[in-house]
Amino acid sequence: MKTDPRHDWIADVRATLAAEPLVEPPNWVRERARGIFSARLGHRPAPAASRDLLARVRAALIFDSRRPGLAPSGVRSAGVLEGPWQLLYRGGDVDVDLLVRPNQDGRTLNVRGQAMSAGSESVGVGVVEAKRSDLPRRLHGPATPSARSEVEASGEFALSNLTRGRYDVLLRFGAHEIELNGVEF
Amino acid sequence: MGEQNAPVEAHVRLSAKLLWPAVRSRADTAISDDEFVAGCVRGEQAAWDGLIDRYAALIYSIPLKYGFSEADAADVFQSVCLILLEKLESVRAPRGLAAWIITTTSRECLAVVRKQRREHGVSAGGGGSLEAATELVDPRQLPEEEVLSLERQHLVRTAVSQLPDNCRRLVEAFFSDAANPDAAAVKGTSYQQLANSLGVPVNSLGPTRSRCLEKLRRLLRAAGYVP
Repeated sequence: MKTDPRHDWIADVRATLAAEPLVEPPNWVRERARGIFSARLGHRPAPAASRDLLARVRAALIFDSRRPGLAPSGVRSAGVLEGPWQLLYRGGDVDVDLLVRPNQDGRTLNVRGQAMSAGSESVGVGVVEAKRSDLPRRLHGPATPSARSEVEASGEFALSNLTRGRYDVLLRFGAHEIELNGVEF
Repeated sequence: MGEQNAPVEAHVRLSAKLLWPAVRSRADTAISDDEFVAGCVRGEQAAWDGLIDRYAALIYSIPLKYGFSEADAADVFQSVCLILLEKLESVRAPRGLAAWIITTTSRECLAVVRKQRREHGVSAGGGGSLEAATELVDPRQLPEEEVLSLERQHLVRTAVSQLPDNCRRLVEAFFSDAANPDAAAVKGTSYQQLANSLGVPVNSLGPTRSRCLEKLRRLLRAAGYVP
């Protein structure tokens, strides 16, 4: 019986994976190899304004607790912003977890967040800025952020009393930046 | 908001963590080898780290296949990384960086073996110990088919690591069935557990898996993997 050629590659990948697997080196071997880079070339941090792929990463929304089917019980359906909600973004190997809590005045809200690296290392201290993306911006000069705060060594940060709207959130860790575009608060 | 929202908050946080376990490695990106190399040339440590993470298993496995001890394999690993760092800007690899790394690592292994043989006096007219000589690594080049197998394993591992987290878990579960084809009950249980951990109905795994396999196929084709 003739097999579907579209599935031949699956059988081939299976055979490849069934062969003796590659062996990961111990962590100390890997770390030693990483260390030769700065030792050989010297520490040269990337330019702060760099726009290359590794200096600034655009994060993608991967979880929104307000979406139907995923919202916890007791939270009303979309369209009625009531009670706190959670957003989870992923940019490269960093997850950004946001807990959004409306204030009693109904117009503003507070955001508590945490940036977490997939690896064992901390993301490090940094700065977080939130700028309105749904309002006209000045043509000349940098836009003033609506809110700015420090990111602690644990990756935690807080943005207080943001007016409801759409924001671009930027987290800066030295030469590395993570961008969250169009976040609805 | 007060304490009445605390259970809701905890549930939301827990749900998110169950749905999205941490990404397992730095290699879990869609950055190409060329982009890593370019980043290294610009002096970016993160690019070098990414390159090391991507090729660590491949480089380390080759000396082990030659019969090297783990300590000697670690030395070969370091030597190859030093060579790679020196030659980054001039690496010209029509078959891809993986092929270059395999060739370079194999040469380093052979160089170590020749050095050991010299040190043990095993050469034409040398008076070294035969017992010592028999303990040495087989100096023959790795068979071509073994080299190809290493390269293919590396390409498949890299492509799988570049899948989104949910896809990677589905694909890994799919291919791991080959190792345990008779355990139907185990398979059923594992797919239910997988569906639970992904927060999706178990009968949606099939269509999702098909899409994920298609993503993998495209990644492999882009990497030059030929079945």
